[in-house]
Amino acid sequence: MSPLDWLVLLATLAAIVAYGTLRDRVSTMDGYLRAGADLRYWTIGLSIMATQASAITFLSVPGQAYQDGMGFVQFYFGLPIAMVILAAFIVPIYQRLKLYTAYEYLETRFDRKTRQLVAALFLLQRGLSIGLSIYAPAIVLSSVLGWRVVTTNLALGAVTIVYTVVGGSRAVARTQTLQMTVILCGMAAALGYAIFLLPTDVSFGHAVSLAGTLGKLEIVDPSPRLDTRYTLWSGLLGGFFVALAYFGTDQSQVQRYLAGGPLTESRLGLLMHGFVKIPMQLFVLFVGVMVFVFYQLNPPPVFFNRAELDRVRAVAPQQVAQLESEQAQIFAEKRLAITQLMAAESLHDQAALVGARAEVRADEHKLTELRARTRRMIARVRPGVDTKDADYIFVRFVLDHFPHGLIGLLVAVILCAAMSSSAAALSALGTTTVIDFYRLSVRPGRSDAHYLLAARVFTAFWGAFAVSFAGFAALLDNLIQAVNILGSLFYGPTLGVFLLGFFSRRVGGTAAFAATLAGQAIVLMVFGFSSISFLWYNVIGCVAVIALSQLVERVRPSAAA
Amino acid sequence: MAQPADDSRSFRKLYTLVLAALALEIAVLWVITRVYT
Repeated sequence: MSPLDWLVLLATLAAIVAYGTLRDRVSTMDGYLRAGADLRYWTIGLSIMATQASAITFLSVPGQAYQDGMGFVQFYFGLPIAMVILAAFIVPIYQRLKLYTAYEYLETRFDRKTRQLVAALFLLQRGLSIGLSIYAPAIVLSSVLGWRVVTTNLALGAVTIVYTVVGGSRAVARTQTLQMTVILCGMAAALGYAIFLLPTDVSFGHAVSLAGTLGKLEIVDPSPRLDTRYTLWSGLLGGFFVALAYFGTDQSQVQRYLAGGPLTESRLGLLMHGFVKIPMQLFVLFVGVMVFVFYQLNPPPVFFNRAELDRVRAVAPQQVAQLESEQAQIFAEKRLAITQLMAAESLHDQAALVGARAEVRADEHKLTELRARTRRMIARVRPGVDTKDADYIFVRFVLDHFPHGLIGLLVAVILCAAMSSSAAALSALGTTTVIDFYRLSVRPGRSDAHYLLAARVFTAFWGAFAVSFAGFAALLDNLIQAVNILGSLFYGPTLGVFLLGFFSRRVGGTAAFAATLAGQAIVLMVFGFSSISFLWYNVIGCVAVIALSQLVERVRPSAAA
Repeated sequence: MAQPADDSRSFRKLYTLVLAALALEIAVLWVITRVYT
């Protein structure tokens, strides 16, 4: 990074943090935990978006589109339906009860032990995943920019902890609106520049057609297979359950829309998210597709994690050189076939078009094989290293081909995303610890100022925990997958018990508590002993809790039911 | 189930709009998929 990149990066981050922390002074627990409940819908909508969009989103998603096309967007098909259900039925319940945390509702409906069980599951799941969401961008940025992982972890963690502890939920929401603006502007600039980098003889239409020829625009998969990760059905049904659980029961999201005072603002914020999420995700995926097209027209590296490739080159220089030479030859053949393909398209020559498409696909297949051979070679030469390089594709593309200034902005995008999702999680962890445990069971009946201080202390504690845990995250094989699976392990049972509360009058506290424990055990067993895709864990956990609670209630009816 | 306090006609229109946008998006993406498969 050049001095100009550093200037853009540091100025962007400093402006955001200063705006978030210095604008308001927070002196009450309500102001700290619920942002005073007077935010407008666009702040709430942007805050919800920024909480969901972690740095992993902007590192992984373009790489995912590069490798597997845009099918990942199906994961979000259930989200707008969940937003409508939340806005119509669930937010009014939360707003009427004037809650600080979603888990308070469970005591109102069931009993204290159910509330604290579900709150504890949230602390466990979110406490572990926040460490990963700080570590994942730190490891990628450290590798490509030469920063030390520990320093990156500490710097990223410290800045986030400071403004979250000082300003609470209000500072989180205010900074998130700016962070989301920087993220959207940065990604728009990335897409614009990727299109600008197309050679003069390649039109945007040619680029899209080439992506389609190579299967990157196969977006909707209607097959009913359970072991395929993203299909229309897993997206609509599994994605609906994930979204309903995440936005309806995860305190890091619930806290965002509880900050809207009147019901209308909270609902509009959620609906705004339901309206823009799929287009936004398509946009980020399309950036990845354009990166893919760029590397069809310009030679790609054999492995996108350059630091790792250099280490392998030092040990086995001849093997790396051989692979690079083979790739250069196949690339030259493919580039020629692409030129023929575009000429055939321009002339509307159907026969030539069919032949050129087959040629391009065959060459792409050879390159995919060569990339697989490269990964196997790296695994042989340096056993135990991560041979997946998808998360490095986008950041490598930016660093190698973007002008100075824009590189600083794109690094700021990744850091903003890391900070915005981590800050929301920290604030939610601190809030849940104080409201659902400390004020309830440890020190009840103290003053507002006492709990405000406690909230700050617990938020700082969770920040320190997250940064420490990030130090151990290197022990996990695949960080991105770990974050996704971790969420899905706990969401199903949590959603099940909330849905029981909202829609069942029969089930009492003991049945809900027992069914949640048993449902959680079932999900852990499915994870351990089956090959079912993780999206379905949410459905299984939720259905298990609802079914088991009915069973327990029949065997041992509660007095309240 | 609690009935929303301000579940006015305009909100029902907004819910319909969000769901209609989803249906339209899936339809467009389905057509794109068919064109390029």
